[in-house]
Order: sequence, then C-alpha cells, then structure tokens
Amino acid sequence: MMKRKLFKQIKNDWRENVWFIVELMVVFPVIWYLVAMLYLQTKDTFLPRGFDHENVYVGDPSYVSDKSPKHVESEENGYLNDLEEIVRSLSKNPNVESVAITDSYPYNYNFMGNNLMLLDEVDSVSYYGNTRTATPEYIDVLKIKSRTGKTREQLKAMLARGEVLISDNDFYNELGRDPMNLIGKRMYYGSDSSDVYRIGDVIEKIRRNDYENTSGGTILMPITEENKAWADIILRVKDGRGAYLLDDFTNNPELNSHRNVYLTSLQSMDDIRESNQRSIVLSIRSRVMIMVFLLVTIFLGLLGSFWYRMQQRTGEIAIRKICGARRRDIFARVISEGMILLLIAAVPATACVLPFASDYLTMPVVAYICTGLVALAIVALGIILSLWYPARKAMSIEPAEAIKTE
Amino acid sequence: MNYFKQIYYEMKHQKMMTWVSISGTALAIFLVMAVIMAEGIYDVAVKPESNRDRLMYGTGMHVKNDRGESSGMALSYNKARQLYDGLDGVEQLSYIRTQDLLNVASAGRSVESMKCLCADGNLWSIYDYEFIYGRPFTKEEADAQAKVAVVTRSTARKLFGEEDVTNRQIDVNSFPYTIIGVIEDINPLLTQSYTKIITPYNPANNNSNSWFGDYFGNTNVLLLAQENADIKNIKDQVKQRYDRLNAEVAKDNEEVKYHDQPYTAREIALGDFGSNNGPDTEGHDKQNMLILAILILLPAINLSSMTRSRLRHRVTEIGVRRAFGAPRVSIIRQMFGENMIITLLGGAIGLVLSFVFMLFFSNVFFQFDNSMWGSASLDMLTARPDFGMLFRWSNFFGVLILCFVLNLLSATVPAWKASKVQPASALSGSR
Repeated sequence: MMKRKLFKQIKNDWRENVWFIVELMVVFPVIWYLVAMLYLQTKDTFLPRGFDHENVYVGDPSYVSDKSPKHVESEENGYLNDLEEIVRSLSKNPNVESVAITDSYPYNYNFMGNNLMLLDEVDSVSYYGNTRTATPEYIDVLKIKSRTGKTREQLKAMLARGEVLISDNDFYNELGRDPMNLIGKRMYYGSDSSDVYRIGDVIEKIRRNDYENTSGGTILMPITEENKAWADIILRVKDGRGAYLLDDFTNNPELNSHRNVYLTSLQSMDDIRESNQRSIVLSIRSRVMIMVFLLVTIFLGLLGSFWYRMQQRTGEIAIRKICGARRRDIFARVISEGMILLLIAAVPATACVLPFASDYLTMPVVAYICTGLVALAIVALGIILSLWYPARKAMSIEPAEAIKTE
Repeated sequence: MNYFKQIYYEMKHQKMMTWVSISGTALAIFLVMAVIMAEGIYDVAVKPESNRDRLMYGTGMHVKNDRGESSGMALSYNKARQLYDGLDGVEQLSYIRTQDLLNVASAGRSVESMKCLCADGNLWSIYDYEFIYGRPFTKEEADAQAKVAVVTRSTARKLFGEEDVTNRQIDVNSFPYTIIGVIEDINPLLTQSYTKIITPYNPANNNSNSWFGDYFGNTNVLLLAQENADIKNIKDQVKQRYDRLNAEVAKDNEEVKYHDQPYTAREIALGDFGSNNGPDTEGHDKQNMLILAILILLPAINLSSMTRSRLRHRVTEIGVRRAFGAPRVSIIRQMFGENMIITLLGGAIGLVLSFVFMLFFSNVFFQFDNSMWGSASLDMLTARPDFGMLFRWSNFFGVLILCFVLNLLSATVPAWKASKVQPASALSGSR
C-alpha cells in the first residue's frame, strides 16, 4: 500500500523527476566507465612485482668523447674497463651491498620482446618474454625470487655459468604449457638456432611497473661484453645508508668517474618509480576527481529539489505523523524515493550503453557486472547523502505547527 | 533598485537554495573553464613562442621496406633539407638536434644532466627568448659549432650562484664552453622551446650521423610560417616532396610514409602521434566537446529543476502579481533576471576557482606534457601554467556567454511556465 503511494507520488512529481532520471542516466554510465577504468588500471597492482626497489640506486654512465680535451688515451675496450673500475670502487664502499650492470632495470619501461624455442624437442609453442640482460649481482640488487625455492646464491651462479632464468608467463600457460617444465632444457634465443642457453630456473616475473602486468614473461640473461659498455649501473645500499652513499658519491671522485667514464648522478629507484609512474598516478587522480565532481553535481541537484519538495509536503508529512508514522518511516520514505529514481534511470542507461561497452573496455562479463554494481552503489551513496538533509527536515516536522500554518 | 532588494530578500529567505544554486553554477563554470584553460595551454602564444600559431615542426620520418619492417626516427640532414628547405609560405627554418640532455658542470661543482636545445643560428628569429645578459650566438658561430652557450637564469644561478655569468667557463659533455648570454626561464609546459641551455648546432657537420640509407639522423626541423600563410598549403608541399622521394626510393623497395607533417604547435603539444602515425587532433576535439557538453548539460538540468521548484514555491506570489495586472513579459523578465544574478555570482566564483586551481593545483591532477617518449625530466612532469598562459580575454567572455547559456537553458522554460499560471488557480492553491 505504502509502496503504491510512493510510486504515485513519484509520478505526480514527474516533471522534476524526469530531469533527474535524465541526469542519472548520463551520470551513472560515466561513473560506471570511470570505475571500470580505475579497476583495469589498478587490478594488477596486487600481483607480485618480482623485485624489491627499496634502497636501490641507478647510475647512468656518460662517456668522454675522444675529441674532447679531457679524453685520456686508453687501450682498446677502454670504456668497458673504466666502467668496471667504477663498479669495483662502488662495491668496495661500506654503504653498498651489491652492484650490477644491466641494460634493463624496473621502471625504465624497457621492453625487448623475444622468443625462446626448445632445441632438443619439437614444440611449435615458444616462450615469449621481455629480455633483460645483467651481471649476476642483479639478483642481489633487486632481490629476485626463485619460484622453486632456490637461493639467491644459486640463481647468481646460474647467471654466472651463462644460464638463462625465465619467469611465470600467462601467455605460455594459456597455450597449455608450464615454464617449470623448461628447467634444465636447452633453448635457443630469437631466430638464431645457434644462440643456445640452458634454462636455469623459474623466477618471479620482473614487471615494468606497479600497474601493468607486462605481457609474456621475463627472460633474464647474462649481459654480453659489448652490451656492458653502454648499460646502466644499479646498486643496493645497506638499509638506511642511502644518504651516506650519496654523500660519498659527490665527494669521492673514484666513485663517480674513472678516466673516460663518469656518472652524473645516482638516482634512487624510488624517484625513478615516482616520475615514471606519474602519468598513471595522475590519470587515476583525475578520474577520481571527475567522479567526485559528478557526485557533487548530483548532490546539489537533488538537495535543491528535494529541499523544496519537503517544504511543499509539510502538510502531507504532518498528517502521516498524526496517523502514526514514525520519524524513521518518514526518513526511509524520502530515501526510497531517491533509490527508485536511480533504478528507473539505471536500467535504461545500462541497456543503452552495454551494447557499445566492449568497444571501449575489454574485460570479462563478471568485471562488467561488478564494476556496474560498484558504480550503482557509489551513485546510491551520493543520493543518500544528498537526501539526508531534506529527509531530516521532513522528519523533524511538528504536526501541530505544520497544520497550523495550513 | 526595488528589483535588487526583492532578489536580496528572496535569497535571504531561501538561504539553502541560494547556496545550492550558486555553488552548482560555480562548480559548472569552474569545470568548464578548467577544461578550456587546460586546452589553451596547447596553443597559447607566450614568450618565447609568441608566434605559436605560425610554428611548425618536422620531427621524423617513417620508412617501410618490402620485408614489412618499419622504422621511425629523426631525420638525416639531407632528408630534412630535401623535405623542408625552401617551402612557399615559410619565413624561417631552423635545424635542431634531437638530443635531450647535456652534462653540464662549472668548476668545482658536480656534473648535472640538463635539458638542452642545440640549434642553428636561425633559432633566435623563430623563438623570441628574452635576454637578460649577453647575446645569442650568431649564424657564423653556429656554423662553426663554436663552443659557446646561452643558459637560463635558473641555470646560471645553479652553476655559479649568480645571474650575470657571461664570459664564464663551463664544461658541456666534457668540452669547455663559454657562456655568452643569459635568458629568462621558460615554462616547461612549452615543451618545444623549453630548455636550460642552448648550444650551437650545424647539421651539415654532423652528417656522419646518418643511418639506414641516409634516412635517419639526429635532425629535427623548426619552421616559422609567414603571417597569414596557409598551413594546409605548407603541408601539401611537404606531401608532394614525400611523393617525389617515394618515386626515388621505390627502386630500393622502400617506402616513406607521409603522416601529415610538418606538425603545428598544437598537434605537437597534444602529442597524440607516434613516429609511425600522424596526429589525431580531431578525435581529441570530439572527446573534448563531449566532456564540455556533459559539464554544461548536467548543471543546467540541476539549475532548471531547482528553478522550477523555486517557482512552484512562489506560484502564489506570481498569481497575486498577475491578478494586479502584471504582464507575462515582466514576470518572465523578473525570473530571468533573478536567475541571471545567481548565475553571474556563481560564474564569478567559478572563474576565480578555476584560476586558483590551474595555477596551484593543476599538476596534482593533470599532465600537460604528452611527449611521445615520456618526459625528459621531473620539472616537465610537475610544471604548472603561469598566469600569462591562462588569462585570456576570450576566456573571460567565454564565462559570460556560458553564464548566459546556462541561465537560458535553466530559467527560460520554468519562467515561461510560471508566467502562464492563471491568477485564480494560483491563488486557490491548485496547480
């Protein structure tokens, strides 16, 4: 009975309500879209990252050109020897735990996709991954984890022996293969079947940043001599010793230069992480901001209109109260009115946008439903907040006063 | 006067509603203006890019071969000249080196990587950098790749702790350089002209840097179109040169792809192009129009239903006035005027808020630098616009027009409806 009256009332106020329904029909899909985007952007942040970036510093070597007056005559391969000399000095520093040379550290967005193919067995399915090459100390600097329980010493020994470490790999799994089965097998890299490596172990995938689940797996290989000369230095400092190292670095020339190679700075991986992920973080912030603004718009609209409606309905509410309605019933009634409006808007809005949703977002059906429900809950919360004040006003009407003014 | 008094009392009487209406309008104007201002950053003309609407950029080339391989990179000097030298409608051309960072040091201080611009002597007649001390390098110095440098005010302070540093010596990539000029700092949001140090570049000298059959090198081209020149025509000429080049390279089974170059300053700033695809400013504009439409429509709906509610509340008053002979026009005019005042007030608040937001908080939520390879440095990522980049009279008038449109959308229909009320039924309380 009560419900029927509620619908009748909504119908009677249709001129105002139709606009809210239109508004909610615009806002609800936009919020749904934002929730879905935020979900897609952040869903992988909880996966293991495969490395530990705390206390890690990166140095990008520069080279004195042989035309410069500062160039020091040196032997062939001089650059490489100079770089290794700097690495040696850094390793000896009491604040430093471990130093590695690599062409690819996390957060530098390097992606060099390539395939590993089994050499001794016939299998058309290749292992695809992001190639990272490094000296064995890479394992210690980034605290790379084995998935088979091997120690870091064992992993380092494998890289030192020239073996390749691979990681878990969803692509490979989807094709019905398991990277674990590759341990100990011989595989060739890329299209060159003479470029053969033994697979040492499976490690946790080294992702490129906190937000993406980098496609394929990780292929961690020993770095070649010619790549070394142009690669970067990464190092791990002892816990809490970062500032001391930076101090030493600026004051001790042997830590930042040797003959024709020099490091302009040591950047903490934390800073690199922050600046390289900044655009992702900003886009998350701006999406949340848009969502908040949309909710505020609804809030103001509903608040304004229901405020008046409650003034109009003073008499009606007073009579309700005289007939025994409790304050809670009055409150619930106002809120239900908002919820019904939301449902009336959400159903056609969903029907309108759903056919096109897959053009903009690719995700499983469950994710559509879940993000849709979350969006619905967010809008519902916004509506409840905006009706709170008008509803309280309605609750507090004193029947005697109200009817007197009539 | 009476009129304003009436509005004042009405607003005072309905405090809640006044508050809601004004903040609703302020929010709408704030959002719309923020979007418009952010958009303006991509084409605002401020020093050193005072001629921004005439600036054009040739940034690279996309080459495909018959094996399906595809490469994109900056140009070799020969290709840059072949494609962009001597175009009709172009006033000035400058060759720029595509190197991002230089290692700079002054005696006794540690080496630092700095965003640099290496260009030939024509640069100064395209970008109008403001000199505080010293002078720019000459064409002759550029051609000879003289070891001279122009630095910005903040670079000077960083290197020497003072600003007038002309004739001082610095180390640039381990070569000794002499500073000959100091310029005013540039806002990093002007991504193309932004730099901390400018050094001479002669592309002809660097021609050893050419790869892949002389397509690629490290040269970009900066063009200044003549005043009122037809941008489309300049692009068409370049397209014809691409066609001619294609005829030449067809024998090697190679193909150069034309991607709408040279880009305008706005296309460059929006950055939605890659080395292998052209810019899509149309898509960007469409998306912006949609956002603006939603931002205007939603508050308009809100205000409209609020105005309706408010008028329903005052139906008795309108009935009385009608009964005493007030013409419908005057009722409409009053409702319209009342609403206009609220809208203008909200608009003014919204405009001020949008300036405050853009000047102080925009870098917390937005990234303006859309460069393809990510930003060179954190100062580019965290840059905020200056007031000069935001304030434009057109923005101000934009707000006025917007207020009027909002008002029209939200007040006209309810006002017209209200004026139609029959005095008798209004007074009897039935609707």
